[in-house]
Amino acid sequence: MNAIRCVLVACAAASISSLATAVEAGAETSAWHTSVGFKLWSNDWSSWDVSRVQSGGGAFDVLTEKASDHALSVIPVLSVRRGRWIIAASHMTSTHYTLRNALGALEGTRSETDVNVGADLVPGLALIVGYKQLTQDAGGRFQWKGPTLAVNASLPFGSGWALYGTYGLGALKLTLPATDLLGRDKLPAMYSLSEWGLARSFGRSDSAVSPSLVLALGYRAQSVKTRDYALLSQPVGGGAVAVYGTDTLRDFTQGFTLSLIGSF
Amino acid sequence: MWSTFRLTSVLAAFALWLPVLAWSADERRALVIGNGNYVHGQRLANTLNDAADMCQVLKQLGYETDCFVNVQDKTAFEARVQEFVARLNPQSKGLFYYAGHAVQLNGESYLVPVQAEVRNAADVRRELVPVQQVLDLLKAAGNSFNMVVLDACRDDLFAEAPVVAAASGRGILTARKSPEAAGEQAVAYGLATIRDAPVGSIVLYATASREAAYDGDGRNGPLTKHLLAHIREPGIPVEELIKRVTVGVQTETKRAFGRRQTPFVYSSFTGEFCFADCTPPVNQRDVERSREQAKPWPQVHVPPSL
Repeated sequence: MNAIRCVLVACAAASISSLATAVEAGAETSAWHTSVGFKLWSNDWSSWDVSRVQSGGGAFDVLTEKASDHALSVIPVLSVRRGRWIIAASHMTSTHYTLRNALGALEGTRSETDVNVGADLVPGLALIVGYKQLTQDAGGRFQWKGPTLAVNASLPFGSGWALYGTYGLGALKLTLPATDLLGRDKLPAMYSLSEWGLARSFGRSDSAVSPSLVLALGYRAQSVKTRDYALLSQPVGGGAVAVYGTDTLRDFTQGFTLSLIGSF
Repeated sequence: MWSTFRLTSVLAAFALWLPVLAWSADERRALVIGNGNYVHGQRLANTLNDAADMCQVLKQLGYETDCFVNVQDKTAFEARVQEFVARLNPQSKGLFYYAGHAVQLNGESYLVPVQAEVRNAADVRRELVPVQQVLDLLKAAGNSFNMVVLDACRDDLFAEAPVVAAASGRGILTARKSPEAAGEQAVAYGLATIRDAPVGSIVLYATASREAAYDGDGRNGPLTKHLLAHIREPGIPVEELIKRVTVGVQTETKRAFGRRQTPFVYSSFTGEFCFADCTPPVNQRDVERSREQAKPWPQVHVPPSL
């Protein structure tokens, strides 16, 4: 995982370096464009839980999947664009979920924050590096943090209409609420995100003078795969030696988004 | 010795090419004659204005223009034409413009110098300038394009003669004596048809054959007025110019005099010629529209949230 993280960071650094050169050469003198708005995300969260099962005189851990009901997350977004450069940030406000499976229910909240900086490779295609933090409060606080690398595309196909999409990867690190069975409190995680949809601009989105409003309908899916989570893999009891195994913790969240962004 | 000969040969060859090199690809020359102060005929009010205005406009359009008014007699008239033709080269675009009296006799048109005194058909031949002679000279010049504009045929030239012309015309007339007395066919009203127009030329008459032309009630005669109105418009080939002038003259004369004067054209020109630039004027609205269409669709930015 460390290798992936290094590759991501290196790619991001190289990309930004070459972009900076290109942008400098272009000597953009464009005005500042600020976009602010929010995204409503109607999502389902599929997560994990560890249940310790008693068996005979001993116990072992079972990794189970729990799925939430529908939840509506509000994600304020802010971006500042100047020429080819873009700086953006978003924050998914704390959203409450009830995760259920046959073994029981788990109440939890989740929030996310990301900050990003990028530049257009070509008009409508931006390369973005960022930093993401994802926090789950469900039976303890689990927090993922780390760098991300993404491409953000917008393909206009008419006056005011565009297809848009974002695909990103992140090399995150999970901080556990407590050390695991192997005494670790940090685990590597791979984050991926895709969002695509249809956007309609009302007013001139390319103008710094007149404000515009962008309405976008999309679909967003993101997953976090955290590896090497230690589990008690065999029943332990009566003085037997514990046998540990590791497994991957999977979080998957998906659903439709509705964005309303004002630009000025 | 041999070197001197070679050098001389090269220089001679170069010298032979000099006149060719000196020819501009689109040299334009014009001869403008306006006769109005007739000694023995009715004076014309507007022909001098017509000539002056045409001179000014043609110079603006890049014509090397020779302008003459009140050319006295046939000798002077012919001299002006010969000087003009002598300066034409094969690449030249020539324009001969005449405003004044004209007459036709036995199917031949004649331009009238201001001191001409015509009492019979013999006087016509002796004192007046045959249009065909002008055309023949232009034909001999062998240049690529010539246009002849004859804003003539507008009223009676001789007061005592039988009047056939309409009022306020630059006319032509009949001889002082009857045709029978002159032993000739009638000296007819209006300009005659062209027998032999030079190849690559356009001859524009103010009116159809045997019709009278008006002198106009303003500064210019109707033909020249509408020529002046359209000749500077870019993007108009000469054929389109003539159509516009014709429509203008017809409309104006019908309204002002109750009779439609129809300019008449003889053409053996198959090329393209515009007095002003042949490039159509750029419509700013079209430019804006095409610029707008050429513009890529504006980007619609949806801020990324990772």
